[in-house]
Amino acid sequence: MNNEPKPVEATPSRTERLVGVFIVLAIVLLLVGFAYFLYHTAERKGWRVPRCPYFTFVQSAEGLEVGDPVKMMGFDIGEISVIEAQPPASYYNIYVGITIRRPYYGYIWADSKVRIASAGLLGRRQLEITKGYAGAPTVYDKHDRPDEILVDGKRTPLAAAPKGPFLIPEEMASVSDRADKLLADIQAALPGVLLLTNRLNGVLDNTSVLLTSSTGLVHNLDQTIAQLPPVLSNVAVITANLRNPQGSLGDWLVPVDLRTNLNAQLTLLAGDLNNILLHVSDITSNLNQQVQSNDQILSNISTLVVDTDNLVQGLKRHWLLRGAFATKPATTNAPPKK
Amino acid sequence: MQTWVDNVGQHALRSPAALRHRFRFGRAAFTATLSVPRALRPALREATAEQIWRSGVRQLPFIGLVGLALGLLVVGQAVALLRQVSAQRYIGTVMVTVVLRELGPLLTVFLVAARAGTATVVELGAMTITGKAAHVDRLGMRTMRELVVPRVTGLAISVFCLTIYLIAVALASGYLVAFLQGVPLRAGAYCGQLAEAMHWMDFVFIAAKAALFGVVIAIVSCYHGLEQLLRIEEFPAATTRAVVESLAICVVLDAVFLAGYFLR
Repeated sequence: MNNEPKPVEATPSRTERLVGVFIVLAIVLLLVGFAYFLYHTAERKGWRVPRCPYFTFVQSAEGLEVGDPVKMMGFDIGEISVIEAQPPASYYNIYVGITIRRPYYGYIWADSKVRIASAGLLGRRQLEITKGYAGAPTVYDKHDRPDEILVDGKRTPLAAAPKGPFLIPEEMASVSDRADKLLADIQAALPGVLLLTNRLNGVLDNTSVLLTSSTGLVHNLDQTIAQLPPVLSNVAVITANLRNPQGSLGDWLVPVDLRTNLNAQLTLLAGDLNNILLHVSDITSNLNQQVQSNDQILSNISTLVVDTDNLVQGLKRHWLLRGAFATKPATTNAPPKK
Repeated sequence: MQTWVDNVGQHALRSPAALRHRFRFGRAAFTATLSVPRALRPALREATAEQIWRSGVRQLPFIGLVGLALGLLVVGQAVALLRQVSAQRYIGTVMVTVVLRELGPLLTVFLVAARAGTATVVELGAMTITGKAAHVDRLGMRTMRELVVPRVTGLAISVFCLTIYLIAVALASGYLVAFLQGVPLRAGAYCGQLAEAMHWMDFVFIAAKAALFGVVIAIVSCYHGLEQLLRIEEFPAATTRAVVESLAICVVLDAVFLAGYFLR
């Protein structure tokens, strides 16, 4: 028999409470992280999104793996679900099954193609489906799920064609194949390149000779340049003399005696010119006086004309000469005066 | 006179026996942990809580500081390098690979071994010297349950929790550093990068690794604490041995987990 008293449930101490918070918070953090990871992965991989199968054929499965993403317009729209070898007699070598998520299968139309291109430098390849522009959509939804697909231009229930619509492949060579081809091209181009390098070698030889000549030329030029400073200083002196009118060049161009004679002649000439100008001044003053005299003659003539006119007018009114200046009356159509 | 060659031979002969001894102690501690009678559970729970308080909750500020520095250093350096190749969008991947998988758990182990492991050695050693605890060879199951089991459980839980806190702080401070350095990365995109770089095994491995590291530190520390220590002067050597052994075993276990990543 167990006579021990039943242990009384003790109230939790502060330490226990803090320890509990410490543990619970850590577990909650871990669970929240895991929940976010699950949510993000589900969003990324589209776990709850309807999918539609497609298939295509390629000549080589190199660089392709089940689960590899399939791209369209830069988005991951699905993944490779199956990679299988075809029977030996088949034209195509490899069958590739693809699943595409909603809504991306809506972009795939009858003219869409699947391009198998290199992805990176490590021999990986990826499938990229091109968006359709013409023809008809390849998938028809019913209740938000793919219901019918386009097979040979006809709408067929998805259940009747579980592989899905066929996508025309456009297979590009893998990086290694392209590298091989590039290598072959390089090998073919090598003779030409060798010829070119030989020519280049000749050109370089000529260039070497040219360079030697240039070196000599430059050396000579250096010497010439070294001799230039005295010449330049002479030129500087000459230009300084040119700026000075009484410099040696000025004396050489116009001698001193010639300049003295020239000055005397010019002084004489200036004196003669002065005298001529004085005479001309006298003549003009005489002319001025003459013109003023003429002005008085003209006024006398004008007075004489006025007086003569007055005389003639007086003679016309004189009784003796009035008949000599009689005037005929003007002829008119007006009736005679009564 | 003993030469270094004699020393090597001596250690080579003793090592297998010492390893067997430690392994036997670890198995006993593990068995005792898994088979605690119902009547002892309340007392054990209290002792475990005390242990978690000492080796877990009280280490939290320091772990937070280390996590902050870790995020700052890793992201600071990573941003500087990734900018040169315009690959800032791999910051999340770098954080997951470096902090979450490797540095987070290992740094936590280093800190806990250095602080809680040494304390355990000294505490148990003092109890052995004063006669409050039996020597490791004469340790009964009851004493084992009273002294070792709370430490094993407490340290396992503490290291697990501290690892999660350290990783959380490092990831948050990493984003803060990236933000302050002007990396055009939104918080949502950063979380998306982290989630994209993670694998579901990361969560399992972090939890398992951290708990296992805690168990290793506890068992090794308890073993060295309950070893026959005759003098106080032997304590420093015993604590050093305990820390070094704990870390060595943890690093080896980490390598095993790393192999698990490659095999997935």
